[in-house]
Amino acid sequence: MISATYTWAQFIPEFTLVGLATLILMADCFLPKIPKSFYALFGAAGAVAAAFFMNGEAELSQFRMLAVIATALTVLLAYDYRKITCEAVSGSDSEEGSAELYALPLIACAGICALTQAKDIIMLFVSLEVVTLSSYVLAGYFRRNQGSIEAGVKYLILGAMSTGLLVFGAAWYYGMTGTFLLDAAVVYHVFFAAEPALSVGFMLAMALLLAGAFFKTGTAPMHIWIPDVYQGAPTPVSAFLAVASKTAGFAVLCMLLAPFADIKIESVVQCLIILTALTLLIGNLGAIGQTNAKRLLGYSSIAQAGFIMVFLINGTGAEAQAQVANYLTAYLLSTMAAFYAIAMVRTQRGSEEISAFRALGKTNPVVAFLITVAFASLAGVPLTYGFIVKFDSFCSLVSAYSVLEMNCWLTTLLFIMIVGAAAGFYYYFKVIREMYWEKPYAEDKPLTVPMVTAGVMTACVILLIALGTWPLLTGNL
Amino acid sequence: MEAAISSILFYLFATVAVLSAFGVVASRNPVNSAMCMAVSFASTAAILFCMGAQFLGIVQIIVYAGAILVLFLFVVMMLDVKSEERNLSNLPRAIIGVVIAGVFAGMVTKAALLLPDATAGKCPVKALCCTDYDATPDTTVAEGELSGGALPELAQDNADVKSLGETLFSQYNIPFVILSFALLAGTVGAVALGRKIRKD
Repeated sequence: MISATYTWAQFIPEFTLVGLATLILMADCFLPKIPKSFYALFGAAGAVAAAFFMNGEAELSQFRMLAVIATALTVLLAYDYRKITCEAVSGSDSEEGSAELYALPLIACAGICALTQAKDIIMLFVSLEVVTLSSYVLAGYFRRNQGSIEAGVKYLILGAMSTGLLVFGAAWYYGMTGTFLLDAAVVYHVFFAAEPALSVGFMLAMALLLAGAFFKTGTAPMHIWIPDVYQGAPTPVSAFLAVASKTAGFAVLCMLLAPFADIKIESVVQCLIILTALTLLIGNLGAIGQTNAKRLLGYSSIAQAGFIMVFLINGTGAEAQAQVANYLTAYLLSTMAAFYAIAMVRTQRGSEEISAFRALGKTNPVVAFLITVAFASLAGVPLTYGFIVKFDSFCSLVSAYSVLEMNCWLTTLLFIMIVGAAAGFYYYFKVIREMYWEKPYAEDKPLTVPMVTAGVMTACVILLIALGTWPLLTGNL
Repeated sequence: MEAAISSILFYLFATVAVLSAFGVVASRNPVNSAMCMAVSFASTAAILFCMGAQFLGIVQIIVYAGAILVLFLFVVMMLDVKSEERNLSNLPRAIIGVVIAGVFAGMVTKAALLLPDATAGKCPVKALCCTDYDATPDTTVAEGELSGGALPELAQDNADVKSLGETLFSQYNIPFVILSFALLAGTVGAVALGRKIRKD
């Protein structure tokens, strides 16, 4: 049987990450004197160190880097969020029982890193399971918080269903091809050399496998869990699901669709166009009515997934993968900054509603500016990186006209994209409006900005602006 | 003749497995659900036996029916779970669910019936296409295990244990190790979510 070959050396970063997680768990057990929040700093530093072991040659190495950065930022966010964690886990100021919140993202990250190196469905499934299992636990981590428990249970049940679909798809894939390899030669063989009846079964296999990937990316119709889980899960975990887990999903999607780069199958493209359109509509229109900031970011993550999917309609080769990774970079920087802001507001004003951002423009002008840039980048305002990537997404769709002969489909999608982008300006700017146009309540004090939050948000915003203006300066759009 | 009998057995056990799986969901009493699940596991194990994968069949019975199911029953009894009350307000939702499930089942059946030899009385599952493709995969073991017909090479002593072990620890060694990360995450999660917090 032909199968993918891996070397142990490829997986050094993964073993480093799991080693770190194990160290944290051991220390948590045997060295109770060390403050648990120290593990967060240790874990984040270790995750960044693990990134140095990576060789950039692998096809999806950019995704891997994004996952590691997102994990490090998640763990750092958990550090600033520790006050809420302590209340929700132990019901007191005691830090007991909070160390796993710092260790599990590292294990999940190891899963994502392994995922980006998968060449066959076995590795893909196994590493995806690592991510999923850790995420179930993380989503329900706040045991004293009903929202978190609800998020955990919802995520567990729907996630188990998507895993089931993925495994069923893998079985069909093997049944139709006799191999688990994800390779263009296999796809070519099924469609052009084997019996025509096989291609029907193969398409069923692909549909089921893609459904598993769509669950992670939040593409319709597998998006249903997102708003509820993001709202209920602990904020650092929501950030992890929004960024790292989505990166994993898109890595799977790129991997599954990569064999189709040179073989254009019309029904695959049609299916992608319909799902992208649905995703954009649901994400953007659903976000309009939201009043909870985390729920808003949930719908926003669905909407952004729609814009990313557009790249894969145009093509699924290395170029499209790089574009997807760029969009995910912009998404990571702005969404992480937004989640840091939400965590800060939640810790000090006790609410995750958008109205809790009221009058930050008066009480904390600098923070308000940072949040403004993050949300503006999500909306795609020029001079931010979010604009560049969204522009890229539109360009990609326009260039698809010459590749695919489906003008009617593409024009409909283009229209939906414009509607989505316009809606984005409305709902992202709700937060900005709240900060500058609302009056502060009498009891509102200026927020004290924790060191880590200040550092991360500033770095994200500087990067967003730098990457957003650099192509304009060099004229290299 | 041998092939026909194995087909009959396959369809028999498959029907029992599907019906009892339906019973798991439909039954209102959790103990009944667990018992239906045991039947479902046993018939799945029987199908594995029919295919010559004795080891997998035994593992299925020992691990699932033996360990996991007993654990379920313990939890049901310890928590004294009551019968679920039927909620009729969910009827429209249930109808939508049935429609989606029906469409899905139809889709899968259609794809299965289109397969070569599907209607010729053979087991429709078969590793098919890549036998003549460039780096010709050696699918003899896989085909033998999946074809549901006579299995000369696998019917010998413990051939499937050996091939299973060999595949697991040579070809799929690294994925196997990565899978242990998932187990680690699961264990850590169980401890984290289940432990009692000391009150200081």
